[in-house]
Amino acid sequence: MQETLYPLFAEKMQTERLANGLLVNMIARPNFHKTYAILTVDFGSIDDTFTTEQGEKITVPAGIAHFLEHKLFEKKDHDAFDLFGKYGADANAFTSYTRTSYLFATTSHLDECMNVLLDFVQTPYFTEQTVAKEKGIIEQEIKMYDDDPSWQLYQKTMANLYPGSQLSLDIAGSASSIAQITAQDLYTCYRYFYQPSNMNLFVIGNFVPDELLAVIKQNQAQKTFPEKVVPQRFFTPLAQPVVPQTVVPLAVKVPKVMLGIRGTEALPMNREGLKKKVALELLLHLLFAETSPTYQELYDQGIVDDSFDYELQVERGFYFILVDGNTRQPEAFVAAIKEILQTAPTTVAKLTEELALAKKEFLGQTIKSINSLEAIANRYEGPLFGYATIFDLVPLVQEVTLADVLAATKIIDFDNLTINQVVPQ
Amino acid sequence: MEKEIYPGVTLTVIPTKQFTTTQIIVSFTGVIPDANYLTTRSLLAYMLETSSQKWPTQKAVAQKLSQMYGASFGTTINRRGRTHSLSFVAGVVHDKYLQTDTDLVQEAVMFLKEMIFHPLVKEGAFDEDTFKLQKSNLATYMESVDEDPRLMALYGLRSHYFDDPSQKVPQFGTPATLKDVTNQDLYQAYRTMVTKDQVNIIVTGDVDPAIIMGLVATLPLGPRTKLDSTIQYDQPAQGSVRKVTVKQQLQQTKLNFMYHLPLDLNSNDFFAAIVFNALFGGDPQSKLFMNVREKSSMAYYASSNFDVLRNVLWVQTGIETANKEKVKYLVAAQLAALQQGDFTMATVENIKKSLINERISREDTQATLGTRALIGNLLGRQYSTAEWCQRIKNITKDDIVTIAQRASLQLVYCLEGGH
Repeated sequence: MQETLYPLFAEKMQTERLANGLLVNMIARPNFHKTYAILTVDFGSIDDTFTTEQGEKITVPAGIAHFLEHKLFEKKDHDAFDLFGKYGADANAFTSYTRTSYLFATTSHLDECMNVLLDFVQTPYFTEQTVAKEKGIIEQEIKMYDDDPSWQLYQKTMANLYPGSQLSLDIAGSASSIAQITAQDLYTCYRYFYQPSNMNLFVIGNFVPDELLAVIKQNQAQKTFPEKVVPQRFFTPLAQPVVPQTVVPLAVKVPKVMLGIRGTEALPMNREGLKKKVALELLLHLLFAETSPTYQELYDQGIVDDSFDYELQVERGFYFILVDGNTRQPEAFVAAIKEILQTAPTTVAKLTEELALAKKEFLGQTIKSINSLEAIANRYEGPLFGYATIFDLVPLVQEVTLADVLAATKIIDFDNLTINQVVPQ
Repeated sequence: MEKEIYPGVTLTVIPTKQFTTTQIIVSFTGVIPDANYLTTRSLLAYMLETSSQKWPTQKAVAQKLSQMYGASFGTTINRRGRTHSLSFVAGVVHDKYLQTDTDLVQEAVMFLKEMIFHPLVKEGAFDEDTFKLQKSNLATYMESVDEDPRLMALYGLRSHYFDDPSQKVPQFGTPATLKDVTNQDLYQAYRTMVTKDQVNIIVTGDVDPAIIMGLVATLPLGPRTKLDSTIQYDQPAQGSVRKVTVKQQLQQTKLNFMYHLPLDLNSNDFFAAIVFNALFGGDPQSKLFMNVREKSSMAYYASSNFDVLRNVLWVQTGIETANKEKVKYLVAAQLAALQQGDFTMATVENIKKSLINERISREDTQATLGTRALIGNLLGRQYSTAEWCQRIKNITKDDIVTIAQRASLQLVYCLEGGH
């Protein structure tokens, strides 16, 4: 196995790409009690249009990646959750726009749990009956989120940032789109995306890497996989212009406002891209954190309150920023945020001391997150950031300069801005 | 290391090299006299988190925390039975990762000293503008709860079940009582907290207990009476089951159930209840999850929880309105099955493994160490992980049936959607 050392933290990551293409990363932590493993497939809700082996371009119903994730646990005569349950392990899964992950955490029977994980993900079983049953459960899940005004606001913002693209749809799809899903659709998606070369396994905790790797190799050696195929994926999030604004009446007491800006200049898929991500995060911090020049004033005037939040999301093929909060003065809120964004390049140029302070904060937060097995494993994005881990962020944060943060202000482009509100009925 | 610094003030230091951070908790606990107390203490938690003499604004506090390399700081409130804790929690990364000559633990203690003992107060009252602002923030937070149907249904269940006014209301209080809180009331609540509440200080991380003792000695604390009342609240069961239905404009109906479940804190009841609850609705292998969600697809979620400090067990479900009666029947049937011993020990063994796995896993979360030490101190006893696991393993079928038979349904609360 290849080794990557992190001497400041006395940690070591061991990596190997198996013969079948599966990428395995392992970090041993003998002073922890549990082991956490996450198997990630490079397939998410945006991957609904792709070419088959025959060169045919097909589109599958929205929500299929999430549907597949639910269904994979259920086999002909057992449910994978029950198998993990036999060992007392904790299992879960989640689907995002760009990936599907299956995970477990356990303090015992690691080898058995690892075999369960690999087996249930690599042995698909879908029938029309099991598909029909799942539709009821997922419909309820979608309905539950429909009752959440914050969720509605977010969905509206995504729909306005990326109209006409897969990003405008709920990851879980809709009741009508999932109604169209067939077992055959699931097998098709499975064939093209659930290949070992399209997956990575990250394991961290109290275990012995060589021993576990042997268990994994033995498991994989007993299986035959279909011939590797790399489907062409079609995803054009920027095809249509941003919808500048919407106002939706819902059951809220206080208006909620969300501004979104989509990035248009592609981020390189390597450490440079990760550094640009950090620069963007520092930019948002300088503009909108509690320590920013304008925050206190807005807070005191009641324009923002404790719910005020901002974030940057970077995934395969797209990135965007969101600024949002509850406010009794939505017009003032919008005007203030727009002003901050518009004047950002001039403001930021003067914030040398504030940047130094922000870097201290980011450094400390990164070091703190190293406490969490889940954080280290879940935030590993494989090729997206050049196979970096949280440990690599520590020196990166220290390297970012004011010039880098100034360059990040390029994302602020009002042609790619949307302003959305949820207001009382 | 645990040491009573003064009567009513205890310091616990748990040295560990497992984490990159040091966490410090300073917790003030009192007995709840009435509902107003909850509201006032919540407001106090907001005030003391965001202002002090040295750092009078949120920005100033945030800048100080940034300077301490992104130190974390917050106040939390917790109702535990008849008691209420207002805790200050601060966390800093270990100096060795910074390659500078900082002493962040000392800075953190000095920071806490300022935030707790030097509030933004002048002549017996808090800064008026800050008071008004935080009152408004707390009011806004209380309103936001009503936007979360699941929370609304849970609070609705509790407010209709509990007779005692201080138990009826959420731990953060109510808008009605908040309106009437004056600045002077708030300052009085503050004085009571620092002079009369029981104090627990817990420090976890790669630290030297002797050094921590020296730092904690600089905090202006003095002796006070230890908590002597019973923590546990009990409300005897009624003979009949109340039904409350509230109609809402919702997609999904929330159907909740409240049971009286008397538990003797000092006996094996506690461990039997843990296993019972997991089997009933606290685990993916539970009766509620398997039979209400999985097998019949009647609910997106169906789970149970219990509170040993208030002698209650409750079930929450998210369902289609049309299935209300069917779900009531199913939930009752699951409890009846447990009461009749209609469950396999094979499932129980799996559930025990799950519980044990969870317990051991939580040792990998630094906050758990602090919380366990605090609760252990409040209840006067703490179990090591080894002992806890053994006592779970020892639970028998009879133990589970005994607990199940004590559960008596008191209230069915429905937040009915589709209107």
